[in-house]
Amino acid sequence: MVNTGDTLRENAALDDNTPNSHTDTILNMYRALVQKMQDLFPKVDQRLLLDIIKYQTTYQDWDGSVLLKFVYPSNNIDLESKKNWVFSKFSRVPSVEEDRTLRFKGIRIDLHVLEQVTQEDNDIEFITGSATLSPSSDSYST
Amino acid sequence: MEQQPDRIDWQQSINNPVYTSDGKEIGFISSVQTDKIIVTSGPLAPDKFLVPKSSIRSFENGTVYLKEDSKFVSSNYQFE
Repeated sequence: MVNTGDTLRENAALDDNTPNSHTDTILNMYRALVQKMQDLFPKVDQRLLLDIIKYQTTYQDWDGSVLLKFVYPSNNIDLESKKNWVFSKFSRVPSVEEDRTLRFKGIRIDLHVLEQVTQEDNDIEFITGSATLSPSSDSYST
Repeated sequence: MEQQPDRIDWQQSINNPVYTSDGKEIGFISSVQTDKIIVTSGPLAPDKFLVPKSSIRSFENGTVYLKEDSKFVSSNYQFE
């Protein structure tokens, strides 16, 4: 008997409702991971975290190239001293966006580094950006 | 149906539009953090806003309404 695509989809839909299916297990684990990331890295963009986790765990030789953006409160922050701190830590001179965001392209950035950053600089309100895989990609363009 | 901010299902709020108190749409929710939401507008070189959840007045029929007006939001919440 031939199983059509529609039948397969119907069966899959039925399986979705089956308690403790493989799908439920994976989805529940993912939700738990996202919740844990929110608890442990509340100031870091979750999409950036997931990208770094993926590259860091999948590619042993990943060079940690990440476009990073540190967002500070909109007032009462000395951005010049923050720029100096970024330079001393990452050897990069960040640009300033909207008078509150420092943007730079770094290498050897992994989850441990992000954890250190959030612990060292309590003024940071939010960390976002994008991780890239290839040295020829955007993170290395300047 | 109107929902108070403390009862919002944040995962359901992704991609929903965000309006200021003076009726301006500043974008849609692209990400949710512990105590803030990230609002993004425009497909190219988008503006991005880091909005405290405490600034949300209500969540009604899939739309988020803020307590502050567009001038305040641009001055205080925009980060890109």
